Amino acid sequence: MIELIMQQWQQITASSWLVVFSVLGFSAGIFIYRRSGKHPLCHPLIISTPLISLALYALDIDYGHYYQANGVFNWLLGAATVALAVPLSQQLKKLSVLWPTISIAVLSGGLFAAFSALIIGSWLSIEPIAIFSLAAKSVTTPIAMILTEQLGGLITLITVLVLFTGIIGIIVAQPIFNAFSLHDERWQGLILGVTAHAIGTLKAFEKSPRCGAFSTIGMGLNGIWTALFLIPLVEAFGP
Amino acid sequence: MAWTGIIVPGPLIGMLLLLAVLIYPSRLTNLIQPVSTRLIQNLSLLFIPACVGAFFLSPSINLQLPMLLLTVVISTPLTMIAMTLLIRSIKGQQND
Repeated sequence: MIELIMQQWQQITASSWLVVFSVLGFSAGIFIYRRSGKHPLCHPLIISTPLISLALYALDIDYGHYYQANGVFNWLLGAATVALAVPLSQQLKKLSVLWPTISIAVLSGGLFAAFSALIIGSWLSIEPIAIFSLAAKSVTTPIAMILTEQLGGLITLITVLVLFTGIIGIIVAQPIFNAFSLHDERWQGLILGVTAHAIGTLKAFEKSPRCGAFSTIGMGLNGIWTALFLIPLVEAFGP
Repeated sequence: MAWTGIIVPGPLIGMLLLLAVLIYPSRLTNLIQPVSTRLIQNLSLLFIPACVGAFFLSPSINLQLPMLLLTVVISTPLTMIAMTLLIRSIKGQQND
């Protein structure tokens, strides 16, 4: 226990002034994102990360050094994962009769998302370490990062793939709902949450609060569910 | 943390515990909400350090990147279509 606390303390105290890069980059990202009318391709991460990497290259700062220096943020990620329970608990209280459909949809959707990625990934003969960094792509980033770390994948890769999944998800969602005539906003929200996590949930809230609420449920439950099955699934799959 | 052979990450256990507590109506929600909302609103900031790493990947991983992105492009719509069909077939039976 003491050892665990010391470990976390060291992570926090490893932080240095390099944190400034992340904060400035994030501020620039948020500014441009709001200016663009919250366009998905102007997501704060898409804007800020190239700027920060350019700054690191220009000042000849080692990436590993920069990552360590951001220890506070990496530590807060754990706290943020715990905090996801708050919106989820508020949405879960609101429904009762829809439980069977929600659970079947989330259980199979989460499994399908991970399994299809593993199958297609190995079919395209992607290296194991990259496949390990792909499996958690449909899950919200904080959970995806923890899972990828445990699988032995690269967390630098999973953050990008999760972001990309979210963007692809919200681009293809509406045409798919139209093509298969799924007009109920509740189920559209759930699907957005399961397949496109936080980015899908933002999109769902733009449609209606109800759609967003279902998306929150889809994202939260799929995060929990994927955390339970993903590691055994990848081990059984053994790419 | 290993429990009956299934590995559940620590922060996720924390999330489940908090969820179990919050499901019961209490004043606790009002107490944590200001902090949790702030944290979740600025979640992207916490991803930046790892995300920047995408520009510092090893050449061998860089070579895999197009294939990885292609996998996402195929797998994501497939999952959405599968879920749409599944929900439609369940709803169809209930005439809802």
